[in-house]
Amino acid sequence: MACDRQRKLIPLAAGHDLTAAEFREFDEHLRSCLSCYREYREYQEVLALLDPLRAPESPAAPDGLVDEIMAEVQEAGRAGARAPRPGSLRARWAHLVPGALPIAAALVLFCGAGLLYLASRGGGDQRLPRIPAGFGDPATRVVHDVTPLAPADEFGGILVIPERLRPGKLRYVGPAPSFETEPLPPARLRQVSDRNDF
Amino acid sequence: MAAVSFLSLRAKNRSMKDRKSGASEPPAAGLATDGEIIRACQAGDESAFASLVERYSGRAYWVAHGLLGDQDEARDIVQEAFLRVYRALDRFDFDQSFYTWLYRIVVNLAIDRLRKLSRSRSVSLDDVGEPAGSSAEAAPGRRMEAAETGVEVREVLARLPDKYRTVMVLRELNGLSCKEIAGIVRSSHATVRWRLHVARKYFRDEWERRKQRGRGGRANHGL
Ligand SMILES: [Zn+2]
Repeated sequence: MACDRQRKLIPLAAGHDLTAAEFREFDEHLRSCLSCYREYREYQEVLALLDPLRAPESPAAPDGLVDEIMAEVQEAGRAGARAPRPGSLRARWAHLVPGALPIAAALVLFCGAGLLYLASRGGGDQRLPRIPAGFGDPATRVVHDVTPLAPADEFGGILVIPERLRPGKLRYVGPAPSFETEPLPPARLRQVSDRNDF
Repeated sequence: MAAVSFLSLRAKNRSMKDRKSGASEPPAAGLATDGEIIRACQAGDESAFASLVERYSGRAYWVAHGLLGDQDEARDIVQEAFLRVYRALDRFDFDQSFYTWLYRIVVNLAIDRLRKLSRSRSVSLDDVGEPAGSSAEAAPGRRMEAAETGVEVREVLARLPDKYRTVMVLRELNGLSCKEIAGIVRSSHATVRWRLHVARKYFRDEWERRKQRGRGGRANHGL
């Protein structure tokens, strides 16, 4: 019976993940149980296969990565894409009326897009612009240069501009900090996942 | 008895594996804390953000690389993670540590990327780390063998369901403690320990199966 209980601890013991109390009991058992001891060794040998894949102790970023990140960040900074400060009107809106912002923004922009669509009917391109979801504020907005945007995954999130529509930009003017989107580099032209937890 | 000496031998390795993320350690004298840096960022100091990137991009890269097993994908994920951090920094919750938040974003992005990539994607030998102890003078045959083993190890890891692989990678490859992992994956300490138990058991059983198949294959070939 004791053996059954201790055997269950072997995978954790092999990676040194037992509590002090568990370890004492396990260590004691191993002194008298060859079968558990062998299995424990087997686990350790198999886990040692992972050693070559381990991260270095104090890993430096690969060459150029810091610069690449900062270039992207500076670009995002120029586009004014920082999230609202807690307590800002934009943040309070988002907090107090969750879900209202995207809907209101979609409605307003849908109207704008409809007008633009009508205006462009005579031209060669009759595609109805897609409406950005989760973007904008119900107060005031000015849309320049008619840029249909793929949905941003969250308010203030990354905007994805279809390649065919570049260079285009959308200006948002509201009670919270105004910002204007920049045409995004190709690397950013993809739908981002909404699985982030912030 | 042998078990005693063996356990104490392994204790030496423990300190190597249990190296901390480094993130939770207090900064050296003269260096700003993460909280101070984040407040400077919130006040609009872009160079402060650069110091966050310098402090954490290396570790974040290795977390992504551990999960994805691909250098370019890992770089891409880390870039995207920092961009998200930058955009959301004004909403940072000072009750949690910065690295827990960053690693969570990295892990989530990497898991998403894995799902998008073909599950049957093969692992390139170039993406397997140089085995410890191997050197330029090592025999080419031995290095090749070690690299092949690395590919197989990656394949076995890749077969683990996401939540088990995440825990396995953060613990085994990145040396994070179960408690740190619990914060990153937003689970309890007990859940992380359970997942680690399952993941190691799966890893060991799958490795044994492969070895058996290999032996069987060679035996058949010999006949
Ligand atoms: Zn036993």
